[in-house]
Amino acid sequence: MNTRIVELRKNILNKNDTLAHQLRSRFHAAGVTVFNWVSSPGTGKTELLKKTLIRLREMGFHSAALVGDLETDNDAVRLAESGVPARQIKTHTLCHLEADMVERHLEGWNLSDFDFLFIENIGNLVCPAAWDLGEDIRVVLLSATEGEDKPLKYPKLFHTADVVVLTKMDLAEPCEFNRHLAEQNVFAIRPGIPILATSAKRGIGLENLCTYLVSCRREEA
Amino acid sequence: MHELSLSYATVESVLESIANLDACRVVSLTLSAGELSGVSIEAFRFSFPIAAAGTILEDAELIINSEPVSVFCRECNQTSPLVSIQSFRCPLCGLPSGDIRSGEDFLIQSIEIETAEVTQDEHTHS
Repeated sequence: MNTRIVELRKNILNKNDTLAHQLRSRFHAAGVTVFNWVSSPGTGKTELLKKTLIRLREMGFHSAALVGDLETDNDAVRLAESGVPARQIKTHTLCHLEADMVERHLEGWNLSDFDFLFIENIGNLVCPAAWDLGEDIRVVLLSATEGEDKPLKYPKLFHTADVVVLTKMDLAEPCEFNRHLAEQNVFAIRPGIPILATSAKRGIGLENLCTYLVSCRREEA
Repeated sequence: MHELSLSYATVESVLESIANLDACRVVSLTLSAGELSGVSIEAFRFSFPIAAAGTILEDAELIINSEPVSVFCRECNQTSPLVSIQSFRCPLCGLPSGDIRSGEDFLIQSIEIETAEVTQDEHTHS
């Protein structure tokens, strides 16, 4: 018997990252811009996404949506009400989406038919942070009902955000949500990031959000 | 709780890396967990044996080093470790910086393997 040390310096998420890079190239080639929406459960991701899909459709853009949940296809049904193709990814026990689940659920779609692909992640502020899905932009949502200090409690996820969207802002006043403090906390983790305030129920900030999303669009391939 | 997924990924990755090295057993496994990697070391230690069961990693000792987060500051032209991951500021001058240079990854640094036969100087793979 003899023993030896083998130096590896290998990233453990290598497999997911490699697949995510391949997906990103595929999205790029098809000219589709991809958003990964991440937040805690109950932030109002689905409602805001549905309104966003409708508005983008009115603006003449073609979108598709994938939505992850442990069980039920309720959210895909809700998103499909926007008139946009929507598919459910059921993870059963898994707490986050991985690149291979996204890849499998794209089957049968011609990506070049779409301007935008939205991936609504599992409601979770911990695990989705580490899993690249090949997206261009990671949208992290924070609702007025959950308190201003979420960015400080979950710095890892907020650090990976490209934009932070405040949701349920119609409830900011009754919940005594301090927007300035929330923004300060976001900036502490992610200096200089764009922050957009919205209310899906009241339609507040929807135009701004859609303008932002459209500004992220790739040049035509 | 994604540490079980990470454990399976670790086992798979190690097996892949040593496929040609005639290892009969992995003695130890040295990992580096960045403070921003989102990995709970405790949960990883708990779930690793489940993923390693029935493989040559089954009895491997886990050595997990925690790696602090460092950011690069353009003003100071220097990379320094953060005081707290709740405040992305250069610890030297206090200016905000999100330019992370270390502490994000979860890496396999090295593994110690036992080979069945005593050979002369082995060929090196990595």
